[in-house]
This record gives sequence, structure tokens and C-alpha cells, in this order.
Amino acid sequence: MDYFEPKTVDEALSLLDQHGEQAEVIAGGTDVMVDIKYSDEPGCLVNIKRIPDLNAIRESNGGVHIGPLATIHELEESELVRKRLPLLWSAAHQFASLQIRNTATIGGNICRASPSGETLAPLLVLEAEAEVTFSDGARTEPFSAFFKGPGETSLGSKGLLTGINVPYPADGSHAVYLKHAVRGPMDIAMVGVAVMATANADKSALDDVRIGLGAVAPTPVRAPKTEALVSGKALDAALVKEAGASAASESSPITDQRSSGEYRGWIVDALTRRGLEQCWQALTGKEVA
Amino acid sequence: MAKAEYTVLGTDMPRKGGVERVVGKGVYGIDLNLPDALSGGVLRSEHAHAKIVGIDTSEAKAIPGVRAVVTAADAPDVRYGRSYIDRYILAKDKVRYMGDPVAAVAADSQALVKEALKKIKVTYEPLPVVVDPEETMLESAPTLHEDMPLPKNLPEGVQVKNVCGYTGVNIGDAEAGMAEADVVVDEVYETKMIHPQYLEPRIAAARPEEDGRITVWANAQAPFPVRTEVASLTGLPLNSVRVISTGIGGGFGGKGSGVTSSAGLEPICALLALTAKQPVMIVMDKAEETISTTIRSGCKIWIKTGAKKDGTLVARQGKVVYDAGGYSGFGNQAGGRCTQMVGGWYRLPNIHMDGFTVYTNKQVCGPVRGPGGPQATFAMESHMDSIAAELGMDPIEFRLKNVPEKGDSIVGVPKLRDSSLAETLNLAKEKIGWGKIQLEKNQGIGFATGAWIEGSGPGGGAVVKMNEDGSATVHIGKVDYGTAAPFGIPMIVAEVLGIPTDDVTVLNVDTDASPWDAGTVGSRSMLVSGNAVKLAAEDARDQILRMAAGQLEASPEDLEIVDRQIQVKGAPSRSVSLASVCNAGHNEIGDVIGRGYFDSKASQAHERETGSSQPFTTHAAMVEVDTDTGNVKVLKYVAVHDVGFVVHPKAVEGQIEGAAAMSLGQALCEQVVHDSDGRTLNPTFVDYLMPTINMLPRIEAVTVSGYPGAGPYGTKGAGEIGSVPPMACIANAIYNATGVRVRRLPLSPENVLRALREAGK
Repeated sequence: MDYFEPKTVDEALSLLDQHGEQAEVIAGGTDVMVDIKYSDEPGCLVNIKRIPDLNAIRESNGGVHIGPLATIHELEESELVRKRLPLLWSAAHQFASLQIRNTATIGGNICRASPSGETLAPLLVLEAEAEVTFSDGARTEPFSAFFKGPGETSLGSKGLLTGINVPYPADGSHAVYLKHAVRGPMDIAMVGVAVMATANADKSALDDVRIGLGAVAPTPVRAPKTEALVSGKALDAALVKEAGASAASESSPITDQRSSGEYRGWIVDALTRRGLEQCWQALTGKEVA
Repeated sequence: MAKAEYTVLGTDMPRKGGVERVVGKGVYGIDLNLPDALSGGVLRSEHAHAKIVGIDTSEAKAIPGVRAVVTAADAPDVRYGRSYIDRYILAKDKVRYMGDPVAAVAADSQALVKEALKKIKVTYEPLPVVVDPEETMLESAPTLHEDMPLPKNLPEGVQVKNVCGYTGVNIGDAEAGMAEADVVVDEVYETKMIHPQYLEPRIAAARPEEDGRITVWANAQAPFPVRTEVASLTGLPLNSVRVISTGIGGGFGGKGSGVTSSAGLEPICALLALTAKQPVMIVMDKAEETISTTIRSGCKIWIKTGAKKDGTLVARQGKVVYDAGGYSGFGNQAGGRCTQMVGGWYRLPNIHMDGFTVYTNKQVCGPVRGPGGPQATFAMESHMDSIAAELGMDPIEFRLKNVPEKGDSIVGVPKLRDSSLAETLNLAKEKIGWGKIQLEKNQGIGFATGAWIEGSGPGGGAVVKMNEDGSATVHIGKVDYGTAAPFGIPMIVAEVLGIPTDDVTVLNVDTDASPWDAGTVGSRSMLVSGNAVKLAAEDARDQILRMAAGQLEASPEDLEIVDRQIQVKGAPSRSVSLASVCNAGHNEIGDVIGRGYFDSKASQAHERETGSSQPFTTHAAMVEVDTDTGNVKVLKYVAVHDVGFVVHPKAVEGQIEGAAAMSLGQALCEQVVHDSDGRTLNPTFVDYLMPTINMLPRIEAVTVSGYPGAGPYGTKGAGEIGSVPPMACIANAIYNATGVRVRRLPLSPENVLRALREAGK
């Protein structure tokens, strides 16, 4: 197995051009190293961790620019993320152990494109954009277009994720990220639900409700029908119940060794209800009646 | 016995070697570094059940740097096993689970081992696979071992197959008893396979010596049985094999090789070394361990109990189907113990139990912490709560109504000398706040009792050698497992000889020098080695006092040793140093060698005569159930134990906490998951969920006193019993919180939520 440590993005891209499918990009290594141990080795490893300036977290054009090599712990420690992107902060905070958070990068979490990736549903709900770079140039695209399937992204084998641009959520919005796993943060999510909403002027109804679901479809997904169902309405117990069932019907979870698809559906239902209730309470100061 | 009577016993001296373990010094088996050692590795079956048509090792052997490739054909035609002698060193003719060792390689590097293992071509003819322990007993199931007979003690008329062990319990007349019951509760429980998941991987190293002998290093719990197995499977005479114990980073029975006849790692390593004529070391990979080494079996338990309206138990009937896996391993012993324990430890005049241990195409059963006990107790103590609920009785009052007392017999114990069960129940009730604490919605409290019957087992010896400075060097046959060897043994020797524990060195087990021992298993270290070392130290002391008597012009009986000084009792000024007497001994007898032994047969006879005092326990838990997700949070946990006399309180507390935490893992999340082909779906720690610290409550360990056991100074085994009650305890707390009984482990969010939904909650 060959090993490369490119010092620039261009150098990395030319290695990817050269080695194509044979190449595996590694940054934090928390997934790749495990793969190498338990399955066949890739033809070569391209370690991008040494490329400078790809771990910035800074304000940019009415939002936050995050370099893909920023570690999960750097996100968790960032005042900017904590204050302005509390949804992403919450996902980072529930992301495995401190040792893993110190090593794993947000770019790795994204490019792995595991439906259960902790930051993915929040990025969909925040309507963030991916900066993707190929040897013939760079472009930006919404994450809703970026994720193609489990482990598959629009990067293919020759692109690099070079930035994540997250617009600031609307003033007065509230968001929660709810993760369900047997061991809580110390475990891979069976279901992750991100809910974000604002309230209308007189706090009598929710506006712009966004719901992101993780680990319950081939990619992280939004739940557009459920969002439409509750947006512009006052939440009551009946509507919350209906929304939970609706979100579950918008998911398509599989059965694996962690849990059955049926159970994952029940949890989407429960966490969607919980997320909406929490947003309602935070935005209106009232309990769902 | 109050601890004030003693100078050393009952104190919390620091663990010998504790700091080294915490700071990462090379103290474990995996740290062994033999010069010129080759790397070894094992080829494991990719089929759960298949005929081996052929094995072609030529390509692997041709790789430069590969020094040995072995298969069953390279070893004597000898099998090993415990109750059934059913297993070759490497699979021959057939593989019986996915992970069964088929061939092994030694090479110059780990990378070459990996490459060579890939180049070994095994031709299999797949056979039908059976993973379900009930299905394997049916006529339609494939036969796993063609030449293994059904157990001789199988009751007449029972039509089964693939059964490799039967245990019957017949006390009184269960059928007649059941007819007299006012209330009968009939339930079925199920537990899943777990792996003991000690953090240090298993290793084996072997070096052929110039004199034709072989030295084997192993982080195994039972060096002497390993020696027997290595000798027999490689064809060497027993005295040509020397086994040296390395440090051990946890085992929980999983490293009981030799005792369990499990993974055969040490014999395989020895075969490689003998073939390569070079030292070889094998370090197992964690995922490889999960699929291939010994485990705590899953089992299915049918339990039916009759009681009178006032709560008096009258009869129990039941059945256990216990999964041994691809070979008999420790299955019959664990399954038998499980069957007995489903019978319970309450007053129960009529019991009938049938326990079947069966072959399936899965990992092999080992003696994991309290073999059979936690599974039995999950069923038995959950069932006790079900009966209490049916009777409308308080679960504590119902149990108290049926606890055994002095003179009673319980399953496996003909006569009790005393019984601490009621005291542990009352104390657990008080400590958890039953009836006092204000429970919120979906919160509940549960109790479960436990026992770990100290029954029969081999004896063992000890030698205490005095050095000329008055210090002592001690040989025992139990390995340093973090319990007796670093705590109890030096404390007993120090107490008897009047020296500080720092003056006592307990030697590592080396089969060339140490007394024979059956293995560091069964909570028997203090019982066997502790009793033996007490007698050995007393023997040494008596020799010393006899030599000192002349010098001090007193009779030996009037002398005592205090702080390294031998003095006349009541006249401490008439004294001589221990060192000078030991030194002078060189001119008389060379050195003082004290010898002692634990005579297991005599001890058992004595206990039959006087009755025995058994360790009992009650655990109590307070939980909160999230009825939306099925998640169970343990808010509070109390473990009340009778472990007899407590030699080292902190060590006992650690044992109880560790054992409870281990079973809380099985209660809440742990299981080895298989598909229908027998493939393990969660071999790594990514998917095999052990509990993390955020899931575990503080475990309050409490001990009761006044019930001395058969160990030295009245100790009882403390290593396993803490793992017995937790699963039932949590299930009972969930029942108390929600009114729903979950009868299948683990009590994972999914299983709990499913049960809640099925109950319409």
C-alpha cells in the first residue's frame, strides 16, 4: 500500500486523478484505520491532514466557513459555532468520546456519507453548502445534492471537500439535535433528528420548520411533508402526534445488528415529537397542550 | 471475627504492581518480547458447518519468510475436551463454527502471516447450519458430532439429538406439590450470548529449548491445565513442557484455557514453534477473539412455580436449554450449574428440572464469571417477582417468607450452617429506600437475590520460603489475577509471620516450580491458595519459633513474632530479630520452608457434617424508563453481599462493583449477534456494545458480617457472585416502573419498547 502526504490541495487532487478508485483519502482516520484493519487495504492512502489552512472556523458572508480538517472537538470549542450554530454544536457535543472528537474531522464525517453521521442531518437543516474541488476547478452545492447514497457523494473518487459554508439561522430561531443510541454519545446513532423552527410575530404559530433525519434512509434526509404539515401552525398534542407519524413515514430505515427498521421508525416518531415540543416551548414559552 | 484482632488483615494496603498497571508499564502478556520470535496467526473457518475436503498449504509454505504452516495433519491424532473429548488442536474433517481454527502460520512478520493465511486453500463442502439451541435438538437438525454419544444420564424416553450434557434436579415430588398450589406461574425466559471482552488480548508464546523441552508463556488463568493440553496435543511428555504465566489484563473466565478446553491457542503456538524450531508468539485480534474464543452462552429457560396464598413456595418445574456451541467446552458444567440455580436458593420442598446442554454451530461456551448463574438468576429472580405480583405480595416480603435458614437444605447444599439471605434482603431494602423514596412517573425499584454455591473442586498447595533477612518468598498455583495473589496471599503471610506485606513476594506461576493448581477460576483463590498459604506460613513460623526457643530460653508456644522481632509473649524485651534466626537457620536446616495445602475432600466432608455457610446477596436498583424510546436509565444501585470475612475491603468492593457492572452490561446492551448462517455480526467494539461509564450508576457495595465461610479466617469467594443478580434486578425495576415484564435479554431500548407496545403501554 502506497502512502502520500500531499502539502497542497492541488497536489492531493493530482494524486486522486492519478490513482482514481485505488486511492483512499484519510484525515482523522477514525473510520479509515478501522477499515484497513478489517477489510482489504486500499491501493494507496492520501493523507490530507498536513495540508495547511484547511481547518479554519471563521465568519464569512453572513455565516460560518468551516474548513474540512476542523476536528469535531474544535467545533465544540468554537465560540462562534456555539453561539451562532447551536444545532451543529449540539451534534458535535454528542459525537462519540473526547478521544474520537479530538481526531475525527467534520470533513471526514461528511465525506464518509454514513447516513448516521452526526453532523449530517444538522447541515441539511441549516441548509449549508459544500465547497467541492476537482482538478479542473471548484464549485459549491447544497448538501441535499452532495449525498448520493451510503458512502457515496458527488466527490466521486477524484474530488475533495474543501469547505463547508453554513448560513446563520434566522434570528430568533430555535433548533435541537436529538440522538438516539444505546450508549448515548458513546455510540453510533440508531436515529438522529434535527429540528429547527422560528415563531411567527405573535408567537402563535411555528414558521419555517425544518426537520432532518439521520440513519433512517440511504442518506441523511429532510422530511418535507412533515415540515409543511406543521409550518404556519400552532402546535397541539394532536398535531405533534400527526407530525411524528408523518416523519416516520418519510423515513425508510433498514434492519441491521443495531436495531430493526421498525424500531427506528418508532424512534423517528418519538424524537420528531420531542424536537417539535422542545422548539415550541423555547419559541413560545408554552407547553404543547 | 472483628478485624481489630488482626494487624494486616482487614486493611486496605495498596495493590502490589498497581502503579505499574496504571502508568502503562509492560506488565501484561502482550508486552512479552522474546528475542527472535516469529509472529504466529490462525486461519479460521469461514463456514459455520462444513466438511473439510482438502487443505492445500503449498503456496503459503513457498512464501519466503514463512517458517511453519500447520494443520491437524501435523499433530498427533489426539482430541481434547472436558466432559466430551470432541475437539482436535486444529479442525480435522469438519469445521463446526465460523472461527473454528483450521490451520496456523508462523512467519518473520505479521504482514507475512497475514499473506500466508490468505494463501492457504481450504476446500469446504458446506453442511446445513444450526444456530438455534432448540432446533438443534430436533430429529431434522444436522448432526454436529457423528461420534459423540448422548449423555449417559439422559432420562429414559427422551428423544433428542446434539445433546452433550444433561443435568436433572429431583427434589420431593414436583407434580404432587404443584397440585397443592393456590397459584401457579409459568414463564419462559431467554438470554443471549455475550463475550467476556477482557481488554488485554489473549497471547501465547512458545520457545523450543535446546534440551528438547518447550517453554510456553500464556496469559491464561490455568497454567497447569494448559501444560496438560500442550503436552497431549503436541505429543510431548508432560515433563518436557514448562508453562509460565504472564501478567493478565482481565479474563473473567474467558482466559480459562485448559480448564475450558476452548480455543487451543497455547497448543497451536507450541505446534508452530516445534515445527519452525524457533520461538513463536501469537497475539489475538479483538474481533478474532469475539468470533472464536469462549463466551457466556445464551440459554432458554422454562420455569413454573406453585405457591400457597400466603406466599409459601410449594413446587417448581422447569427446563433449561443451554447452548454449548460447536464443541462441548465448559457447556455441561455451566449448563448444569444454570439448571440447578433455576431451582433456586429458597426453601422449596419439590423441584424437578431438566437441563440440556446442546451443540450448535456457534462459539464455544466457557466458564465466564459465574458460569450459568447470571442467566439462571435472570429467569429465577424475575419469576419470583412475577409470583409476588400474582399473589399481590410485596416482593421483599414474599422472598423473606421463603428464605432458607440454618439447617435447611437448598439445591446443591445438603445443610446450611447459617443463612445471610434475609439480612441482605433487609439491608438492600433499607439502602435503596423501598417504600420511602418518592418515585416519579416511569421510575421503579427492583430487587434480585443471588447465590454462588461453593461446592466441590480440586485442592492446592502453597510454599513459604524464608529468606535470611526475614522476608518471605511464596509459591502458589493461582495466577496474579488482581485478587488473591496481590492482596490476600501477602496479607495472610504477613499476618502470620509478623512482617510487613512489603517483605512478602508472591511468585509468578511457573509449572516447573509452583504447586499444581486447577486454575484461577470459580472464586476459589482464597479458599484454595489462601487456606494453603495460611498453613504454610504457620508451618514456617513454627520452625522459626523452634529455632528461636533455645536462644530465648523459652518454649516455642510462648513466643510470638511482632514487627520482624521474635519475642517472649508478655516480655517483649526478651527478643531476637527474625532475620538473625532465619540467617542462623543456614547452619542448621538450610532455610525454613513452610508447606501447606488445602485438602478439598476433607473440607467438603467437614462442611457436610457441620453444614456450610454460603455467600448470599441482594441487589437493588432504581431505574427510570423512557416509555417513548424504551431507554432505561439506572439511577441508583446497591449491592449487598455476604462474602464472609473481608480481608481487603477495597479489593472486595472492586470485585463487587466490577461483577455488577459486567452483568449490567449484559442487562442493558451486550450481546453477540449472529445471522442464520452462524456469522457474528458485531465482532468489533464499534458494534459490540459494552456499557460505557455514562450508562453506569455508582454501585454502592455493602458487606454484611457474621457468617464465616470455608476460606482462611472465614472468607468466601467474592469474584463471581456480584454478576449473578443484576439482570433480574434491572428487569424487576422495569416491571415496577411500567408494569411490563421483559423476559428476553438484553433489556435494550428496542426490547423494552417492544414489550411496552405489546402490552399496550
